[in-house]
Formats: sequence, structure tokens, C-alpha cells
Amino acid sequence: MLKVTKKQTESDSFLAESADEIKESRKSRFFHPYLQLFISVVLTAVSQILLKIGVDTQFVSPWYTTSNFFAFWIWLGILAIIGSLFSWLFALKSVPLIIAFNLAATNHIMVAIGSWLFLGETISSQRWIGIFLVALGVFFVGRSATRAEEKL
Amino acid sequence: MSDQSTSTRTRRRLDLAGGVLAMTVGFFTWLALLRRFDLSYLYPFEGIDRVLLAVAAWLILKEKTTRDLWVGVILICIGTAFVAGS
Repeated sequence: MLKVTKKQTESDSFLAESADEIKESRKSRFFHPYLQLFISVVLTAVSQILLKIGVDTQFVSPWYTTSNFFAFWIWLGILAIIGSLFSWLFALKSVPLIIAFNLAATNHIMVAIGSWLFLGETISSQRWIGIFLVALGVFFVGRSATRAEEKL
Repeated sequence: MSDQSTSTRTRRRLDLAGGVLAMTVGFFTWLALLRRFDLSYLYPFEGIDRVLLAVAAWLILKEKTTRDLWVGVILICIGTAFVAGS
């Protein structure tokens, strides 16, 4: 419990700091923790879609073919992964774990919607049910992880 | 940081290198799988990493587990089975 209160004060001071910064410049609004969390979730879905486009259009077997190392879409996907990782770490500095982990569960639904909208994949109702069950499962696992963290 | 012994630091670097290596292998495996399957079919299987983590934490690290964790693990297993059959 002691750790939680310490974390909260840390996040409070961080929020107070960022509130001052927002007044000073518009740039800091971009670093708002919840915006970063949202960016992280969206970028994760985007990266998967970019990688899928990449392997479908540019990747050729065998894997060591020179052109593979210059595959534009795959590099974009890797950049998106790096971006999502950094914004995730940044958001975790101040967003409570329970909210962050619960939002991470929406990843699965975001990827499904993305692959339906942008890749034109047909998703059967059975697959939708499966995706929602997995997302719900990830949500429960995340909840238990937060509980464990709070007990420390 | 400064009073850290050299062996601890070496150990940490090895851990980090191992982690990076595992992630790289995982990434290329993922690309190979993406070539063969639809993204909406493949992505739910990523949820299995939570199941493996939970079982590893329980068996190897002997951590205490909660009911929520096992509810989540079972839901992920059922969901993945649904997706696999679709």
C-alpha cells in the first residue's frame, strides 16, 4: 500500500508539472499521458497492419533476399512498433496501471477492426466471438497483474 | 548505480542481450507467420503469451496467483480455440 501512495504522489506532481507546461507551450499537450496511451494502442494496431501489407506486397522468399532489407512498409511497421513502445513507457510513468492494462486489452479489437477496414479481411462471427473472448481474457489477466502490483 | 558490482552489471547486460535476441527471433517468426495467415486470424494467438507467462510465473517463479489470472487464462484459451476453428 505504501508503494501505491508513493506512486500517486509521484503522478500528481508529474501532472502538476505538465499542467504548468501546457500553459507555457502547445507542444507539451502532445505529451499528455492519456494521449500517449491512446497513441500507443493505435500505433500497435497500425504497426501490425503495416507489417501485414509489407509481407504481402514486398517480402519475397528466401528471407535473406537483399530487397527484403529495403522493404518500405516493413520499416514503417518497425518504426510504429518503436513509437508505440516509447509512448507506452511514457504513459506508464503517470497513468495508473489498471487503466493502462485495461486499454491494452482493446489492442485485439483494434487490430481486428483495422484488418477488416484496411486489409479487407472477412471476419466470421465465430472469429469475432473468439477475438472478444481473448480481449476479455487479456483484461482479466491485466487486472490480476495490477492487484499483484498493489500488494507489493 | 555506482556501487553496483561488475558481475551484476555483466549479468544484466547478458539478460538484456538475451531479451533482444529472443525478441528478434520472435519478430522474424511473426513475419513468416503473417505471410501465411490473415492478420485477424493470427493476432488473437498473441494472447497466448499471457497464458505462458502466467504458467511460467506459477511453475518456475512460484508466484502467488489470483483467481482473476486463471479466469483470464481460461478465457484466452477458449477465445483462441474459437479463432483457430474459424
